[in-house]
Amino acid sequence: MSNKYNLSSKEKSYLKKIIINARNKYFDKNKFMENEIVTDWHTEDKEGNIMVNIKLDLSYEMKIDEYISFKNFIEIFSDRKLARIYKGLKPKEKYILFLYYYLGYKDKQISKELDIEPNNVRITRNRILKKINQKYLGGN
Amino acid sequence: MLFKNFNLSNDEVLGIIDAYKNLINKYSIVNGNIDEDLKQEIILTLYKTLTKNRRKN
Repeated sequence: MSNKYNLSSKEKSYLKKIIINARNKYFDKNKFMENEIVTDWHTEDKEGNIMVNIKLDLSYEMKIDEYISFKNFIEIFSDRKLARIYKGLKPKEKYILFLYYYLGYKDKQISKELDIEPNNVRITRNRILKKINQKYLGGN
Repeated sequence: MLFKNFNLSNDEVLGIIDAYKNLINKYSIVNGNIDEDLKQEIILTLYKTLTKNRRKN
């Protein structure tokens, strides 16, 4: 393909700049994701051994596992498509839906659990539902 | 001229996006996985930018 669309070096760098700006804008818009972005993915001890930090992401699924096996939880969905969409969500999003719909937590309780504002919980939850809706109806 | 003065056809834009999908995927990675929302956002921004002069002509 790159043979067909030969871009000059100026165009290539411009393209890269657009992509980086779009990425930065996305993170600005979704501020709640900042906690999830791994910046310090490893630490090095005195002997030079690298320790990989497994961040929060995994722990959300482990938290669900404390109540019910994550595998069993997925099987609760009668709709396979919906289960597949749920599986594709980010761990934090899965955890919010789990707390709200499975455990019946209120937004205030979820906000305490995740240490964020109750308003943000509501906004995030609605955003997730919108996302699921789009994916479900969009045929993905 | 830079991207034909941002007046590319749909096929050309899609071709560029396809050619540079590896770069797009690289910048769509969040926590080791490709974030589909971010990827869509990048592709949409690319499309908007590369066709921004189209209507003026």
